[in-house]
Amino acid sequence: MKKLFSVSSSVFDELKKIANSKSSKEVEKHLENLLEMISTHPFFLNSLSLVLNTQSLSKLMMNQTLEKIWKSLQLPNKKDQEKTLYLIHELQFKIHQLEKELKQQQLATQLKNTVKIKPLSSHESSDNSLNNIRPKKSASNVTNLV
Amino acid sequence: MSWTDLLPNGLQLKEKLSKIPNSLPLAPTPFQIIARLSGMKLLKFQVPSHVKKQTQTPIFIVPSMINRYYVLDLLPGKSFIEHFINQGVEIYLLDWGMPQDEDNWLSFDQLIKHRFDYFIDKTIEDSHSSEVHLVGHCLGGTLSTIYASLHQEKIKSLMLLTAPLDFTHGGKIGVWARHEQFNVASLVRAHGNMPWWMMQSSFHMLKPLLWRHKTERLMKERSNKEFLKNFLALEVWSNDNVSFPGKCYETLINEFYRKNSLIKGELQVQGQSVNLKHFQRPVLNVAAEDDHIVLFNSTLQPYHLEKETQYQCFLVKGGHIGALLGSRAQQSLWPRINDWLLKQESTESLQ
Repeated sequence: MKKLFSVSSSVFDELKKIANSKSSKEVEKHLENLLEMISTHPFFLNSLSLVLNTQSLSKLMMNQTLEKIWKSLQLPNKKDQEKTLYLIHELQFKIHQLEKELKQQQLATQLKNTVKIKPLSSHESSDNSLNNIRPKKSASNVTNLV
Repeated sequence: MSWTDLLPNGLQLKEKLSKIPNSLPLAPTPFQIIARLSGMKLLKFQVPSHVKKQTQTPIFIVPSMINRYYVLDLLPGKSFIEHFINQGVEIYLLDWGMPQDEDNWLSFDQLIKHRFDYFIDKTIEDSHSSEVHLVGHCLGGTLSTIYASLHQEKIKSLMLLTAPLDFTHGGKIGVWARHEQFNVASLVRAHGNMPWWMMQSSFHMLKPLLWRHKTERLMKERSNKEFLKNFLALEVWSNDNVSFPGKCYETLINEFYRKNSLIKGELQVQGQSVNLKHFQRPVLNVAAEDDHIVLFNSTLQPYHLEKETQYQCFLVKGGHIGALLGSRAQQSLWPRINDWLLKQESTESLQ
């Protein structure tokens, strides 16, 4: 309550300043300060919240009445239709996720298959397929430690 | 009834004003639609054939959810998107579109983990790249930061354009949102999606005398055709608002404005905690000095991140939109952003 009164007195101060202003720029400056104070004033915010809450409540009641009418006609209401559409979009996303997983699995199997082409044996060590898998030695990445 | 119905008939202002949006070449850059989900679209802006591609990694732009994307592609020669594709950078953009009625069921977690992720995957698939440079504008920047923290493996760098993150410095909007008698749950239950006209009126209330400055400027420059074109384009855009998905709006107010959980490290997205301290990709923060919507202190600051994270900030003169898209920005900010991007492109990705 104290806060409310202190803010209110500063609002009146600002109003006085506007009345005593000598130039339009000064009026504008004080008017801006005044509007700033009003828009954050608890009284203004409480009233605005009250208006919003009442408006929401009346809209909600109207929606509920309409829903009941549709239900009595055994027809899907707006909410049902919204939810169905929303679930369709979620399904679309799930399909995308499954596709992604499938691709990853396919890649993993492909990789496994390339590695498991032929089992290693001593005479096959110079096989070309093996050379493709092994990292190739080049002058730049081989460091001779001896 | 629209406000134009109140105009006197003699001047034929009603007909003249209704023709303005169509007479302006808004959103001039051609694009392809790569994917759609509900009302959302993924747009691709290709590098023109005569321009050499400068980056392998594309830019993925996330515009603000409360306005249309075309502020970033306003007019020919005044377009952020056009500038970057002419520099050889391929752009993908997430167009939020107008939320449909069914989107009021969409939770914040689903928005990030399902929708956002879906479009990023589509971008990666289409561009044959493994990562994207994520660019978030305004509230899109907040979402981008959250997504980037959760999926660092898909992000090469993060660029935030006047994006709010620290909501304790929310300014007047913060005061309104935190007001204890503001019942966001009942508002969302009644309206479904948060109506655009409600959000727009709150933005008008931020600077109630702004219209006076605008009118004064308009009167002074009324013979300057270039000014008039830009002025009208911005006015058309700022009055072309979109509603906000209901459940997401509730989260925005409760989790961000009231609890500031992103900065506190308490935000959970489908059970995964979002911690900015774990984010390791290079970050560029672009903030505006005279921004009355997103104050400088509410944008990403180096202390929100780990010391090792590369952080750079461009503090630009101007307001929320002017600082990013004004003629000064075109000459100094956009080339610097481009340089920063190319620098990130040349550095090896941290894995």
